[in-house]
Amino acid sequence: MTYGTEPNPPHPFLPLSKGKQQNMASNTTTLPTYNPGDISWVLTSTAFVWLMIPGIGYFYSGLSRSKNALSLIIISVLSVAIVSVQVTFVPFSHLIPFDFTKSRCVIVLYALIDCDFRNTLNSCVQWFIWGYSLTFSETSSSPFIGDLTNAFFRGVNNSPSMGNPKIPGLAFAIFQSMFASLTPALAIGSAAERGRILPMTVFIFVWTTIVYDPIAYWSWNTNGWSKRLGGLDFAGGTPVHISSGAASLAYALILGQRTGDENDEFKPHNMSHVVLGTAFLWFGWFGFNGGSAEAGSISAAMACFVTNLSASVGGLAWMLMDYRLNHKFSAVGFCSGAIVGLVTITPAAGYVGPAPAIVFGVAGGIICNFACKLKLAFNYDDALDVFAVHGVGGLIGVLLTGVFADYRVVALDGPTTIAGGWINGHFIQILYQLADGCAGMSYSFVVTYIILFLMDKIPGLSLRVDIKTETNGIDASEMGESAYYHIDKLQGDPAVTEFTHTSS
Amino acid sequence: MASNTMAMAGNTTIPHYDPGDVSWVLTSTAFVWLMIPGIGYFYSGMSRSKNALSLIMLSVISVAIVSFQWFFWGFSFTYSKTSTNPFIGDFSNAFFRGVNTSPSMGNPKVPDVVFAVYQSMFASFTPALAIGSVAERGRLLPTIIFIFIWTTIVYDPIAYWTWNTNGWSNKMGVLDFAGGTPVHISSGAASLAYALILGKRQGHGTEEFKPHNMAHVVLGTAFLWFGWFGFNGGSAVAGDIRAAMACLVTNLAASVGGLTWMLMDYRIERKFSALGFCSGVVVGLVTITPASGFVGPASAVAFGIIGCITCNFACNLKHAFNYDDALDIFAVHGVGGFVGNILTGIFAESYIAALDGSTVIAGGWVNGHFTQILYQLADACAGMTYSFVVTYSILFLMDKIPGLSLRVDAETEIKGIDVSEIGELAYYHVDKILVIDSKTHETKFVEQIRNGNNNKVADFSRLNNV
Repeated sequence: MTYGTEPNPPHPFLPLSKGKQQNMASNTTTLPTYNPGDISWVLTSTAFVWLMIPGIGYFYSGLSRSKNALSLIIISVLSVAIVSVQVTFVPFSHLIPFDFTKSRCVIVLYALIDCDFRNTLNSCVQWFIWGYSLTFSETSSSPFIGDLTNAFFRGVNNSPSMGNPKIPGLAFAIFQSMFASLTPALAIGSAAERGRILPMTVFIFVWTTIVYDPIAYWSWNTNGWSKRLGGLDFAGGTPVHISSGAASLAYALILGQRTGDENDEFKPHNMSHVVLGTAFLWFGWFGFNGGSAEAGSISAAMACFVTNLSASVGGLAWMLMDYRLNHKFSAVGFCSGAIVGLVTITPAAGYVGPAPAIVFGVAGGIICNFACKLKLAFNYDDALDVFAVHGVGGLIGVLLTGVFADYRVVALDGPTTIAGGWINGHFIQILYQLADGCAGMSYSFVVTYIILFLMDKIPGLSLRVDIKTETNGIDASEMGESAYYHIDKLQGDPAVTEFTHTSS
Repeated sequence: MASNTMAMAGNTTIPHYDPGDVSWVLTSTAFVWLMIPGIGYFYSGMSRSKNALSLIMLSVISVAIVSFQWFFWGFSFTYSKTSTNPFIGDFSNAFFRGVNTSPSMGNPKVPDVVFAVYQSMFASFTPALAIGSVAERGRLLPTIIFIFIWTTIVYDPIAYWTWNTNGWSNKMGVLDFAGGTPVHISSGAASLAYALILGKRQGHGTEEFKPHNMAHVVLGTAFLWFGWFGFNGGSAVAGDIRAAMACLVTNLAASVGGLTWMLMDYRIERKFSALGFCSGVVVGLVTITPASGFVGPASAVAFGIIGCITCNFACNLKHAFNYDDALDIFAVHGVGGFVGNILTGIFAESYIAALDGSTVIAGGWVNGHFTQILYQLADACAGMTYSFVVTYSILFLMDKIPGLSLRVDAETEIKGIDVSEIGELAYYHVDKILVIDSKTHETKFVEQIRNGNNNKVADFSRLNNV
């Protein structure tokens, strides 16, 4: 496998002389060679992770009341749209002959004025605009955040990616954009049933830039402090789950309790959608964890296997825990447990073998089940238990990674190696994990709280709907549509006193 | 044909193919397959509940029919290698004879067999798009027969022109990566013809037709968006960086499209319309389709925005010209595909095409190649005209044949296609209203509600009209 580093790489967004055709022959000899199998698996995983996002939408939607059902489905897909644009704006930066790190104005000016026609279009939408650059730029020397050299996806091309030199930067960028899109979709579940949609969309853009991108930089960029320290996070325990869980806690605290009697009213309205969402999530997680190997390798296969095992065990564990209370096989319990199993195995997927995966699932299922009671103990309304599942589950996963990470699993792939966890005798690993997890959780919680606090003060961006909107439902008030028109609502007529029946 | 057989018999060595390329194309095959129930759920959710099942079923039936037709002669008409005329293929590959391990026409990196099954999904998808316009008033049997005839006489030729190396459009130099003309323009024009022949739905103009199940509309959109990674990304027919770029621009165009349409609706209604978002996503996906292997990310943003603004206004065409395009298929696929084709002539970049290491194109305006847009225009106009005229002719003739009349009668239309033509409902579970007697805990099925004077205040026998 050869990686050419040509002195003046063909750059998609640099001006070419008008009318001049590029000399294709010289280009073809300088393209690095990649194994199509690796690229193919990463692209497949990209689509798989994409499907997880409507999956979380259906999951949340099914758990809430029917008058808010549509809003929760749509917000998840909206998150993809917003972050896909944000990602392109601030993302990857690798080979760029001009030094734009000095001045942001120069970037905009260059884009607007120095032009070939197409460059003017470069001046604008989070991952596209700047998300990828802030997370994965290779020229940044700070341990906390990337620079803007890859903003607008400049320089994101066919050079080997930071994630794995076996795949080009472009494939890595589109794969990672799905992670960036999924995370805020997880977080805003806590705004369910009482959050206005417009501030939510603004929040997604701002939050991804200020919270997700830095935390992902720490864990995954080779210059990030956590990565340099030796923290192990395969597919995103901290950047995705801990950060979204903490953010959702902040959002829930700012919004306050939902109006209504929690014992009677807050029941899942569509269990079929809850299971559908779980199915999409579990299906897509093969791409989330398996694809994080960023190659069609044994590591990917092992990641897929432990993912499935942890989800299975987690689902059974939670369902059994609910059984001991109600003597019923709860579907919500199984689905929640499966998701917890998926969450806990996420940071460890490429580092552990099958037997520890069972521990991940069981620990996640039991501890997160108890964590759901935190909202009762501390009296906050985490409507969909996002903090209990993702925040607490992510933390458990990150810590257990420090225990069970095994360099023998990593060695299945050949060259890369890690020091391992407790089972390799490397006891300090758990401290790195603790540092990474705690830093992620506190940073996300504090910064999210600040963002929301400030947003709430801005006129027009107030976060909570008014009481009338909340009673009528977000769908009717904010979207003007309903999820299920075909189910007529029985408008109670006070004069009705009896029912007649014709058949049962 | 004789030479093919001899080649098969004497062929002892299979050319080497990279498993990665084959793997990606097979994955994309499954992804495009999922787009078909996706469009089914999308259309179903947008119609009324009494017709819901018919629209889901028609999409899946389309797969069944066209998969057979593709085997029968569809692949041969589209991709035969021995045909010399510029308009249609020959019979050399009918019944999939000669479809073996030779390098495919789409990309020599994958064998014919793989390419054939991949392309069969495109062929299945296209009529599923078109028949949305029969929604709520078309008989199922003629629709099924129509699918077989249409895909043979309309889809196969148009696809031949664009994608077969002997096709006139391909030879001219048109750029159509994943099917702006063969898939979207052709299905959009066909749906317009079908809508015109069928006429308006009863109650059009007086009753309000609302989507009955927005959750299904979103589900359909999710399947479409997910599958489109295979539709565009897989059209690279190789697991290379060009496929990655196609995936990226697809996602970006869809995102921008969804936001644009939603914002356009917001300025009118002051509400975040889910239907608007989903429509915008589909338009973004449609417009980027011909361009996905030729443009970079920044251009994709333009595709999403321009496509959505144009198609949003195009939805008003049915009011201006007074036809009932029930699900806006012409506005989204016909106009969107046309817009995408034209924009490809502007934004196509030779650099992007060269990402696979071998493709050389002259590019579009951004490369200074200004005639490209004329090729695109020629291809798009030819496709749209041919599809519209031939579809109209097919339907006109079919309508005359006894037993193949296209429209249901008035009573069937009121009762709903599901009950009349399929004999099943989509949702048995929502039509029952159960009351639990608090004393005996007996459950009763409510059909009527009467007030204390025994006057009927609600009659649920009409529930199906939602």
